[in-house]
Amino acid sequence: MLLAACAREEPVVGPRFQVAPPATTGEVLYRLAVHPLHNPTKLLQVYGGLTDYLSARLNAHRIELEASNDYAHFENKAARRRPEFLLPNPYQAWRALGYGYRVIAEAGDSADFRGVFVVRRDRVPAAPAALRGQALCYPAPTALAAAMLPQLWLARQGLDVRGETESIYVGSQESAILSAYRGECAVGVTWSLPWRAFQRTHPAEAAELVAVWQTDPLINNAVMARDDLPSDLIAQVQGVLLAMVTEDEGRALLQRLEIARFNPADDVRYRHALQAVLDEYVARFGALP
Amino acid sequence: MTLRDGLFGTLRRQLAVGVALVHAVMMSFFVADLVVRQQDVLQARQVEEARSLARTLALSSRAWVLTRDLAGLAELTQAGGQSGVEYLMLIDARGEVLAHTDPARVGQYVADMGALIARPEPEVAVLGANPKLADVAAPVVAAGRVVGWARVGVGQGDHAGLSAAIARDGIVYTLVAIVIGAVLAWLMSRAITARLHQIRTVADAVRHGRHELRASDDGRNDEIGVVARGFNAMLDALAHERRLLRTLVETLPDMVWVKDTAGRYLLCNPSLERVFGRKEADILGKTDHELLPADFADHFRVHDLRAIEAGGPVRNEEWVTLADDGSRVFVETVKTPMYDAEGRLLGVVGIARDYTARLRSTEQLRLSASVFAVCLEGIVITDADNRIIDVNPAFTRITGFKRDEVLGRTSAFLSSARHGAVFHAAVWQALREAGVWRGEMWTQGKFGEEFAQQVSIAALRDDAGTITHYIEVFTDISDLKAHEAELDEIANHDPLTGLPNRRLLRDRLSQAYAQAARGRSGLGVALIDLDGFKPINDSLGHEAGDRVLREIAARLSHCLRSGDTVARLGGDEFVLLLVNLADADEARQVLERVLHAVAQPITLGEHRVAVSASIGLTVFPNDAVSPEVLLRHADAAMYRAKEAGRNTWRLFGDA
Repeated sequence: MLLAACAREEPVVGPRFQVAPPATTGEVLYRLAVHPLHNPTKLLQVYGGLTDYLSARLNAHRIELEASNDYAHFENKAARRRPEFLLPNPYQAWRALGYGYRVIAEAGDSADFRGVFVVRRDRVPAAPAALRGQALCYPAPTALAAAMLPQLWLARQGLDVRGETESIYVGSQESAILSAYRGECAVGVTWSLPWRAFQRTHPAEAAELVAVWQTDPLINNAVMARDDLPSDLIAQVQGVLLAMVTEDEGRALLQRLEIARFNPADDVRYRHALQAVLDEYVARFGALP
Repeated sequence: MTLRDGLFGTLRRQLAVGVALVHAVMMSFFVADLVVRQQDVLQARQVEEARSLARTLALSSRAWVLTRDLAGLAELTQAGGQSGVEYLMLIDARGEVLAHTDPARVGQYVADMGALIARPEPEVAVLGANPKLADVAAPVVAAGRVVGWARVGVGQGDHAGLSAAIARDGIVYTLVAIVIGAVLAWLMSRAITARLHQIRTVADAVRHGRHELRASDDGRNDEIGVVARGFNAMLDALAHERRLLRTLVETLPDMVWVKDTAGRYLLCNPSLERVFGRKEADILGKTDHELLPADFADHFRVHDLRAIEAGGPVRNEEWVTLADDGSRVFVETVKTPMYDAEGRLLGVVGIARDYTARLRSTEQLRLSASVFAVCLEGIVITDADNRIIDVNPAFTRITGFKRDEVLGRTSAFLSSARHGAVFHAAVWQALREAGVWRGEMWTQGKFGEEFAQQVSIAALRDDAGTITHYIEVFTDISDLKAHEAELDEIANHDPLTGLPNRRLLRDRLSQAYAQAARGRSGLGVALIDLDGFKPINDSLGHEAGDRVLREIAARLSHCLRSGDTVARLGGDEFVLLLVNLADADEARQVLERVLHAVAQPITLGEHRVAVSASIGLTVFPNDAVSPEVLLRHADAAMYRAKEAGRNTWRLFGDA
C-alpha cells in the first residue's frame, strides 16, 4: 500500500508545442504597430477599439494592436518589417517609407499635429528665452510633433536648444507631461492630442498645468501598410478607415481616438510635408535623430 | 507443521498475528495516507507557487507582451528561474511563444491551450499537476483584454528531496512500527493468553490423569478469570461425578471394567481385581494377554471385538476362575462399545455379574418346586392378607379345588363351620406370636364334605420382621379320626346300650360338677336300679335281659332334657346326671317321667315283661360334696327307695 501510494499513477503534465500556428478559426493575423503615443496599456485602451473595428470588417482577417516600449523600439520593429501595418508619426512615416511601407491614410487632420509646451501654472515662463538653463522633457528625440517641431520652434525663437537647455527624453507623451507636473523639468513637451487626453484622464494634475506655447501644424500621423501585403487587403483596410466617419460606430471610435477622421494620403504627400522640416532640422541641429 | 498451523495453530498465535496484521495494515494505511497527504500538500504548495509565479509573470510582462518586446520577455523568462521552476513562457493571444526559458521554443505555438484561450473570461488555470510538475497559465491582461499568457511549470525543486524523504521516512517508520507492533502484539497475546495457556496445561494434565490439578485463579473478574473459575468448577463437578462413578463402580458387586480399542484396561473395580488376583494399579494399562493365559485372553478379546462389530451390547455367560481364591463363578457378561461425542470408538465397557448363587438358588427352587409338586401333603401359600397365591396338586386332590379356583381367595372358605371365631382367633394369635400353629382342623371340601386335617401353619417374615406369607401344610386325618372315635366309643360307652359307661360318666360328672359349681346351678345325680330285672334275665335268658336293658336305656334317653346324661354303670344300674336344675322339683319331674317310662311293659317276642325303677337322687349344691360322694349319696337314696317299696324315688337327705 505504501509503495503503491508512493507510486501513484501520475497524469502527463506539461506544454505541447507545434511549429505551425493553430488554425482553429482560419483567420489570418496581422499586426498594427502604433507609435508610442501612450504607454502600452493606455495605447491598448485607446487603439484596441480600432483593431477590433477593422477585424470585424475584414473578411477572414484579423488585426491586432502591437505597442512598443518607446520610439526606438517602434522604429526598430518598422526597420525589421515585423508589423504588417504601422501607425507612425510623420517623421517615422517618412523613415518607414525607406523600410518598405506605404502610406494608405492620414490619422486625423493635419492642423491638429502641432507641438505643445506644458508648464506648471506656478512656473509659467514669460517667454521662451526664460527657458535658458532649464530642462525640458520630451517623449523621444524622434517624436516629430513633441520633440523635433518644438525644438525647431524654440530655435526659431532664438534659443539654443542644444546649448542653453537640457533635453530629457522620458519615453512617452504622458511621461513628459507628468515630468513637468512633478517639477522635474520646467517644460513638458508634447503635442496636442496627448495633451487633450491627459486633461481628460488626469484633470487634477492637468489643473496644475497650462499649455503656454504650441508649434505650427505639420501633417498628422500616417497609416502605413507593408508593401508585401495583398493589395486587396490594403484596399479593404484603407476603405474601412476612410469610411469610419460615415457611420456611428466609426465616429464614436474616432472620437475616442481623438481624431476627426482618417483622410486619404499617400507616400508623396508625406515625403513632401516632411522634407522641408527635416532639412531645417538638419540645418539647425546637424543631423536627424 | 504447515504455515497455517505455524501462524494460526494456537489462540496466542492467532491473536499475535491478527493484531500484528491489523497493526501493520493500519500503520501502512495511515503512513501511506500521511505520505500522500504530505505529497498533496507539497503539490498544492507547488501549484500555488506556480500560480503565484504565473500571476507575477503575467503582470510583469504585460507591457512587453503588448509591445512584443521579445528581448524584454526573454529577460523576464531567463531571470525568473528559481528553484523548482521547470520553465517560464510568455505566449501571445494566439498561442505563439514569445519567450521561453528554452529559447528554442520561441516562435513555436503551444498546442494545448486552445480551450483556455477561447474562454470568454480567462483566469489563472492549472493546466496540469503532478508531484513532478505544476503547469499553470495566467492571462496577461491589459485594458481588459487578454493579450497573452504567462505559463509556468514548477517542478518539485527542493520539494523533491523533501517528498522523497517523507516517503522514505514513511516506509522506514512503517517497517519499524510493524516490527515493534508485532513484538508488542506477541507480548500482549502472550500476556493475555498466559492464563489461558495455564488452563490448557491444566486441561492436558487432567486429561492425563492429574485430576487434582486446578487452574490458578488470581481473583480477576475478566473473561479469562471467569473462564478459569468456570473451568475449575467444571473440574470439581467432574471430580465429584468421577468420585460418584468411582464409588459406584467400586461398590458394585459386579465386575466392571473399561478397555481402550487396543484392549488395554482403563478402569476396573475391586470385583474384577479378584479375577486377576491383582490390584487395579497393576491391571490398568495392560491387556488380557498380559494378565491371563492366552486361551482366556483370546476368548475375552473375541468377545470384545464382537461387541465392537455389533455396535451395541453383547451378552455371554461363562464360568470364570477367580485368581485370588481359585473359586469358580458363573458370570453373565455384557460388553458395550463406547464412543465419543463424534462417534469415534473409544473402547469397550464390560460388566460381569456373578450368577453363581442365583444359579444354585434356582436349582434349589427347582428342587423345592418338585417337592411342592409331589408332596402328599396339601400345601397352601398365602400372602400376608391370607390370599392364596399357590397350592400344590395334593391340595387339589384332597379338597377337590383346582388351583385356578382358589388363587386370590382368602383361605377362610376352606374352614369348616365346626370351628368358631374363638378357634380361628387362637390360630391367628399363635401365628402372630409364635409364627407357627399346629393342630387339627376341619376343612370343607369343594362339595361341602368335611375333612379332618392335621395342619401346620407357618408365618414367613421378611428381614424387618413383617409377615409376608403363610404356608399351610395339611394332611387328611379323617380316617384316623374315625378310628379314634371308634376307640372312644369302645372305651367310654356301654357296648350293650351304647350309653356312656362308668368311665365316661365320671368325666361328665366332673364336668357337670365343675359347671354347677361355677354357675351356682343345681346338679342332680340320680342312681337307678331296675326292679324285677333279674327274674327276666334268669327266666328268659341273657339275650332277653339285654333287650330289656337296651329298651330301658332308650326310654331313659328320651326322658332326659338336653344336656342331661344317662350312663349305665353295669347290670341294671343307671345314673342320670341332671344339669342346670333350678330346684328339686325340676328333678322330680324328670324322675316321674323316668318312673313312668320304665314301668311300661316291654314286649320280648311272645313275652310281655315289665320292670320298674328305684331311684336315689341327690342334688348339688344342696348336697355339697364331691362327685364321688354324690354318687354314693345317690346310691344310698336308691336303697331307701328300694326300701320304700320300689318304683319310686327318694332324695338323699330326706327322712
